[in-house]
Amino acid sequence: MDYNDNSIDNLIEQASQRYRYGDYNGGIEALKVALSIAPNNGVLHSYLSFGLIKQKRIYAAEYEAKLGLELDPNSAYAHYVLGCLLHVKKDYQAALTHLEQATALDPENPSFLEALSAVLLDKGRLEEAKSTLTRALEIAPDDPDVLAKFGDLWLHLNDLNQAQVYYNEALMIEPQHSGSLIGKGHCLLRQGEITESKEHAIWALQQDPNDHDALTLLTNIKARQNAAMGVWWRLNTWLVSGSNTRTILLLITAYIVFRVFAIGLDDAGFETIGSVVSMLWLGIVAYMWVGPVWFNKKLKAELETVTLDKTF
Amino acid sequence: MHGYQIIDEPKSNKLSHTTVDPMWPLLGFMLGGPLFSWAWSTLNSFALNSPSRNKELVIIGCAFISFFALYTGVSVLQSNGTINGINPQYINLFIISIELIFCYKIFLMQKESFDIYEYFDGKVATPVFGLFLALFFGKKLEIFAITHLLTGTQ
Repeated sequence: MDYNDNSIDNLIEQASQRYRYGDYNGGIEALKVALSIAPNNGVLHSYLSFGLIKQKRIYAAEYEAKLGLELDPNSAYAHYVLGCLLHVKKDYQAALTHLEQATALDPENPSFLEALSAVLLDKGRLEEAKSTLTRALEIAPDDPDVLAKFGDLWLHLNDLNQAQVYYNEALMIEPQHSGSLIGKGHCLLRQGEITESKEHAIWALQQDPNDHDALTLLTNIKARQNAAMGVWWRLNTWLVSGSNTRTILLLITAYIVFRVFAIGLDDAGFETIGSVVSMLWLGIVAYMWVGPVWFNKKLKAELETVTLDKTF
Repeated sequence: MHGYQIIDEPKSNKLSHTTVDPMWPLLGFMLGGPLFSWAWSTLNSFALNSPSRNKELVIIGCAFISFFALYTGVSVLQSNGTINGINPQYINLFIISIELIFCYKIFLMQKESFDIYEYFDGKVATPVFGLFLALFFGKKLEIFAITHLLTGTQ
């Protein structure tokens, strides 16, 4: 990337533009250049953390967010980014604390309200989430991010028509808004409109090939199209939906249950049934090994061959 | 002017060319037992050189210690006759479950670092040699260690 003007403000503006269009790689690169000029600029660290959160690079995002807040403890933005990070880490209470601090420091910022509502939504505090978003919409009625978040709220409540109204409104204002494209893609998928849903995922991926949410949507589409792969995807999603400790405990419990069952059958003299159980277990293990490899291959092939409909 | 380096970006070292997908040391556990798998994970930790490297090494250290402690404990209990009536398969299952906890923990920690390593086009080595060693050397190593631990205290 060629940076003709290396001033910090210009680099932040470049990063901001790239973030807006879902190009987090480009944004991060611009911020790295800025940080090589001003390594103690708290805003830059916080802004970098924001891009890293979007890329799911949680370890680095946490380091940058904490550094940003340490360098600039009264920055609303630093609290906001740390709040977003803690939300991703499912530490809802701490996330609320930081997001409330951010909104207290800057009550007119719709992005802060939008993030606060997302945490409230995940905590099941629906009414508070809705009123926070309404406040954000009053401040910025044409902000596609806020509109998309309203869409997410309705999607969460499974009101697909209402969700699409908000996504469409956001897309009217900004046709390339990745959050709205992906949200609408999820709505269409739930309505069984697989081809259209795929086009939305691909459009988002054309803007940023590493867009995690768009890849998740495309993976969901593949899982819907192929039952055998779908089983693996759903099983895998369920296994890794919590913390690492939960995943490990689930896997170990499954193994112990199988072994105790097999040993018990052997002890009771049902060796043949025990052998069948062992074979079944081996089959499941083999499927769990082969599943992701097969799935990734199919997904890569899809990304290489798919093209958008001309009318899209 | 040196560019800013984000903390999780791979820092290549002399061992980087030996980096493998952490899935393979985990499979090494099934083929060659825990000692070989943990030794391979140790090498992979140094090769990946991620920010969580020291944590990974501490966990691997704990895994080795628990392996020796478990078999020594079983040997002691066997010699006082405490576990004489228990089906040895259950004792084996208990030990394997503990070993697997360490294996999965190491795998999940290294997986995150490996994904980023791959994302930055890091060179990934073939696991064939490691799996070959696991198959023909790992089990022998495990049997040797267990035999000595079980007979050592009796």
